[in-house]
Amino acid sequence: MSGGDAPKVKETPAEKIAASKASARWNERQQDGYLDLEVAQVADSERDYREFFAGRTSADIAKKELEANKGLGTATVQKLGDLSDTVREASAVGKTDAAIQAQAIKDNRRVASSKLGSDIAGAALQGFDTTAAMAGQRAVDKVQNKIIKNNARNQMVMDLASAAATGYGMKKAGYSVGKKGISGPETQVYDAKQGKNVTQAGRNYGWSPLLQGL
Amino acid sequence: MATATTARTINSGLTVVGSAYPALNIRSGINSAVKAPSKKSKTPYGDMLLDITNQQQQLYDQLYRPLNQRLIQDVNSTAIVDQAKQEASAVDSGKYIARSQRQQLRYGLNATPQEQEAINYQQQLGGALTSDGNINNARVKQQERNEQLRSELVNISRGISAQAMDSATNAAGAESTRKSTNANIQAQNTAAEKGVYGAIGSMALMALMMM
Repeated sequence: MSGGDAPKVKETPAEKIAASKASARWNERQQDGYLDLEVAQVADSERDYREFFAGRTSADIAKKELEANKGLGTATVQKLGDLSDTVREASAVGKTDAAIQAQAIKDNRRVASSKLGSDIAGAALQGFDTTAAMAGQRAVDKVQNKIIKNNARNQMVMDLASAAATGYGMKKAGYSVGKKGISGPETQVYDAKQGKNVTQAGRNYGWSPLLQGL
Repeated sequence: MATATTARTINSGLTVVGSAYPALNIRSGINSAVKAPSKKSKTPYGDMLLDITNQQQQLYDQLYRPLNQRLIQDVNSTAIVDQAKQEASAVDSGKYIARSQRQQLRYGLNATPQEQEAINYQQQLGGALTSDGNINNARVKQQERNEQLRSELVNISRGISAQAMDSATNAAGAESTRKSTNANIQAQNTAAEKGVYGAIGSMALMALMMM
């Protein structure tokens, strides 16, 4: 295994999906118009509402004026006018009041649903994240396991090669393996009695060197 | 949007009755039973989580997101003002004048022509001002309602941002971890490679020396 072909942890499909969901959720703000709402809210916070309420004030003044004018009429006219006003006010604003209340109820329900939906989308995002994290961890584990196996294989090859090289070298040096284990090379020693060099068997090391090697 | 006229069942779960509810266009497959894990799958529980998560996402996309989109469109609603205008246009001053005249007869009152003129004038002016005031109030109520709704939606928007950022943070973190892991593996691999070359060289030297 060379440095170039080291195993790599690749991006899993689950991670790609989770990242795309995060991106989509973010884009949703712009696509659906949430961002515009935020911009409008900030812009409106600076708005001068005096003009907006000016119309209402004019109507209020005119109403007050009408009330004041009533006092100028006879008692009969005034009483009839008051009665008519009461009836008219009650009937004129009824549908608008109902529309306001109905709108408020509808809004509350829809906003509650919307918040629930947002929670659901958030839970889904978390689910995608968790799935991605698990897939990512599996990918890392897979690569690490591969490394452990590769290292073990390399170690085994080196041990065998080392043993083979050692054995080759020792054989070249005259070492041999017999029933009693490893024996050293034969040596020539001078025998005084015979007055010449004689061959002496190599020292026997037994099996321990091999066992130690293992 | 179609309107349901009879009781119906959405995906064998939620039963909706009556005609006041809009028909919900939901594809099949949402909120269905969790699929049985494949026998070949090595991560059946992970698959189950993904299945449920996909269903959640589809439910949001098909049911809640369109609702949110409708709500956003509704932020500029003029429904209350429209209602007030409609009501104002329906105000019939003649009706009130006639009512006033019936009341005069009922109570045995005889208004002089000048008094009658004054009463009619008051009725017409009062009617106009009531309508005007009603519309102005409706404008204010509409404004308040729209701003409140927008405020709620902005809060939801901030929630969406937070969710997206959390998820993006997780994705970026995973990417960083992956890059870091790969760099570590590369370094370990290079170290192991040098170790192998060293061992081979050492063995070769040893063999040479023993020859």
